[in-house]
Amino acid sequence: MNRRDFIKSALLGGIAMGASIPLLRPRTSRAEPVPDYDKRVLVNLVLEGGPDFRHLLVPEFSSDKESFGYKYWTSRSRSHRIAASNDRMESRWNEYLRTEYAGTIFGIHPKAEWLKSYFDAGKVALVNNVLHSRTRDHAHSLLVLQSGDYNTGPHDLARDGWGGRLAKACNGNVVSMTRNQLMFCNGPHPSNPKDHDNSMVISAGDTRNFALYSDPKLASEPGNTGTNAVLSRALRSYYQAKRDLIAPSSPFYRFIRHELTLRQLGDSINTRLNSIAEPETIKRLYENGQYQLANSGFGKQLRNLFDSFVCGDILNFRVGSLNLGGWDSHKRQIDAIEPKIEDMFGKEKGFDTFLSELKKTLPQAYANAVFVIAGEFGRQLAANGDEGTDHGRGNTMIIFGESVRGGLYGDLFPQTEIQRYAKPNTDIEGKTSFEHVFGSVCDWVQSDTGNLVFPARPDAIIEDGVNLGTLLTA
Amino acid sequence: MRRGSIDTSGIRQTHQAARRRWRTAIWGALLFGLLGGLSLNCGTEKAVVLNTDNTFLDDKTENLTSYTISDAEWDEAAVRRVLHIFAYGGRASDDQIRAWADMPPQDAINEIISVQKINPKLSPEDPDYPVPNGNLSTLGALWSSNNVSNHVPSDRRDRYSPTGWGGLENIWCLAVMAPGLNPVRHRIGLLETNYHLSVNLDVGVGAEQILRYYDDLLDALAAGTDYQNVLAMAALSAAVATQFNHKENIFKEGTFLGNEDFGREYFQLYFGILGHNDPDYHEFTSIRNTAKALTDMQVKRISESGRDFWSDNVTFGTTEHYPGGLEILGVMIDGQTAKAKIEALSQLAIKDHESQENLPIILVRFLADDNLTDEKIAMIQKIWADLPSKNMIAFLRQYAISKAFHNQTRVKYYTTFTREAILRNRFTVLPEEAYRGYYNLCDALSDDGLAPFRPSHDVFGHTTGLETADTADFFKRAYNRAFNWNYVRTNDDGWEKDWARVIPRGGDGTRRTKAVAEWLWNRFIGDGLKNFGVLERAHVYALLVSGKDLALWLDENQPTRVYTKDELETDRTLIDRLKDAEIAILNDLESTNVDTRRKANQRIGLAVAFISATPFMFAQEGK
Repeated sequence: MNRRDFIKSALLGGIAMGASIPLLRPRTSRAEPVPDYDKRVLVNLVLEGGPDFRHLLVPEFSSDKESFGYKYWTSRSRSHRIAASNDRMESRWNEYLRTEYAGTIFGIHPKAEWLKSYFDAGKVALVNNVLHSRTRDHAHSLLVLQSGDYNTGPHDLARDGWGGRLAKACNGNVVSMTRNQLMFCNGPHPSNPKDHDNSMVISAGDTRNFALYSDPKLASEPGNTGTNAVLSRALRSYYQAKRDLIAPSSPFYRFIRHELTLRQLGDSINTRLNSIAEPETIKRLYENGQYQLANSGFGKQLRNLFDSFVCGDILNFRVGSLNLGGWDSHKRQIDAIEPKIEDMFGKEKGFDTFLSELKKTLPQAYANAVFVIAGEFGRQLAANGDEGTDHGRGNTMIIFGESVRGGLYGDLFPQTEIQRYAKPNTDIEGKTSFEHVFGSVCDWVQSDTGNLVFPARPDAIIEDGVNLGTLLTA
Repeated sequence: MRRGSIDTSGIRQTHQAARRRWRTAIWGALLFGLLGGLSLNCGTEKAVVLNTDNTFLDDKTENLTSYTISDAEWDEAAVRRVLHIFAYGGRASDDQIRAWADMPPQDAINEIISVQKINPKLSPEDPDYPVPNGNLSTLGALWSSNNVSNHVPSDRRDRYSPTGWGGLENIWCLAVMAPGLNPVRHRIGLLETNYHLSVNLDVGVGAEQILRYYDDLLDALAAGTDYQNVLAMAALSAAVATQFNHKENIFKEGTFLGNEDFGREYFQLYFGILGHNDPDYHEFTSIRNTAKALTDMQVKRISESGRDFWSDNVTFGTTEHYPGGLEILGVMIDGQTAKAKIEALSQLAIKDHESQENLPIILVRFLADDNLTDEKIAMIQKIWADLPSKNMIAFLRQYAISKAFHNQTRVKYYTTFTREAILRNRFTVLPEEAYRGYYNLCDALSDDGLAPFRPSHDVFGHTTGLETADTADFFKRAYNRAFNWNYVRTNDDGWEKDWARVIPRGGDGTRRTKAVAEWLWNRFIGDGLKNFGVLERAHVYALLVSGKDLALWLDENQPTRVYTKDELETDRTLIDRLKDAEIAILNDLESTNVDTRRKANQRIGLAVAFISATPFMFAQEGK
């Protein structure tokens, strides 16, 4: 076949040059009624790198040298890229969105206007002083966070994740919106605690190209002899016949399962999504040239998430997985993390746009979704000498959604930290185990799953006075 | 025994003592795994396995016999497994593969695994397409030039400009595939710069810096430099100083100003030292002091020809460097500059028991095994421990002929890099196919949102094999790439696909379907036909003899019928059809009729496209 022949056949068959083939879909913008989705769904966002939520949430500046507000601002002046003078620190504090909750005054980053308004609406919970990891090692701490088990070792790369365990407990599916599926999604293996079973995980990194390629000519001409038709039939037939020949224990089984899942769901998802025009606001989050978000990859994940709710019944959607990396802000923290803060929490940015559209299109789904945001650990109390912050262990977690009882859970600025600012390398003391936070969300998604997903929860530590049983409405 | 390349002149002890230590090692490692969940975080007392002082290295011959496979196990399939994992399939001839299989494994592996710039046995040069004995910088300069010896077509040369958009990535992709160049070098190059010691164009590290980094590391490995010195070289490079920004770290007026990022990652990522024995000491002494050791490393900003970029050179100053010694890993590290201190520290770090345990595992996990068992871990650690000096290439050679590699529990899920490089290397028949970019590796990577030197997890490395295998999207795109028209592309301006050049004839001078199908399976899958079952054979035979899929070939009236393995094995009519197909002669590859010849080549391409989408092109088993 020469180039001319190819172009001819490509025009007929819709073949793309170079890369894989975009799937042909009817170009319809006809708005069909969208079936709403009424099952409760957890959406988990992992912030890889250790996010500095003490940059997102700051104490009010005070000139009292013994106060938290003074210690924080003097110790953090470098990461805020300001001189450690009272007027500069106060001026920077004034840029933050002043917020008050039960007597605690704090600032929310000025680029997080949506977060501020949603917090004020009582729909954002900030759970503070959460113990993330006992080490400050990124890779290990990510495994700990995603497995939801402090005892996960640094080499336990293949074990299950808490999202997978929750989906299993709900008899539902995890839908992964990310390019690389996270360990969070891994389902429990029936016999090997160091392995996983992903039979309930659906990879949705590109929902609008969900299906496997099949020559479209086959629909009208099943015996077409073009090369794409031949190969489409050959592979479909081969995989169908092969399904029962490979044992689940075989390393090749997962590819058989991928094919089956994509084959079974592909047509239904394509049909559903083709019948529904993609909202322009969602499209703007990721499409080239729109520049709505600094990170269009995150925008695309939100698009996948939106589509997953649209196809919730097809996907048996109970747990969603998102990821936003690049939080390891050792240097020039402002440049490193503020665009991400804005992408997530800015007005008309990520979550604002997504939730507005979800509320409008699928009000039940909107009412039944809860979002959890956490990194693998936090940062140190003081800035380093490179306009950044180094690794710490404790941090805040953010939970939001219509069912969330918003507010502060745990002391946002513990007074005990004041003395510790003087010591190098000190970090936020972890007082509440993440099992309590995640477990409460699990119980909300489906009752009595918290202890199944987090068996260690009953004995896990929790900060004095904190009751996470009230985190979500019944 | 044929262990000619192993030096046995070391201190000798009794075989009994050696056996006792080996037993202790195995039990220690097993206990380790059980107690620590393989976290390897127990105390020094359990590091008995890993001591590297000479008293432990007495009888290497006996130690090696315990983990090296036998000559009988070293067969053609074993060679192909090594080639797929370490050489992106390589470009060795069938005769050469057979010759390696007939050699003692140690001798063969020394010829296969090397990081010299060229390796004629593994990647023969085409006399019409000579390649320079050059590093990545040399190749980039040539491929982007109008030099008469540049084989890249003139309309594609600008994409190889090292500082142009995508230039570095394109240079690497072509270096992997250009006949005559050594794919092992670039396989290891990717491991060291994109997985183990990652640097990232996306966070501001310059292309010049990465080129220098890549070439320096590989040149050092090729020269047999001890691994701790290679790691020190990496740690002190301009690329890494820019990646972690310790180029800004200074010690001034008694105060350290900088970040401790690389002070931590030097241990964790480079040497596998996690500090689990004494986390507080590690955190507050070793990491902090290493950050101080990394002070006054100046990397200049250069303005030249309208461009601003970071120099690929580091100047090690003394005026803003921490004066005096620093306690790290329990030892006082002296030196007037960062270079002196880090070079001294690296000699210590490589001997640290956590590094001894973890560093070889880090390398093997990235390269070759996603299913490490306690037994294999112990064996890999033993191979590392037994090296008289820590030479990475020597380690990889020993591992590649070990029972840990040729082990039925070993599973390596291919990354897109590995899968597509194997596929495209093995699909390339003529050098111009590589230079014209017909099977451009970077296109496939881009389809998956990947590019070399832009690691998905930044310093923690690129997308792993396990991530790739778990994510159905990667499978979907790879499956869909089987429909890429290049599989069936047979001619272009002055070029024609010519599978007859490489597909061998049988003893009777013909090419019969069965032999061609098996040859293709081995060329692309390389499993010694283990997974080339009746179903795979039936589909491949049909494509080869007719250019049609199995169902259409068997019965044009039932094109959507699915034939099961049972049917193919028991239905007399089907058996006969397949038997006829098996012995059919595929003469047309060399037909004088252009159309006939091209169609024959197209059928080979279709068969490969089918093979490429089977599950067996996504992972490799150890045995």
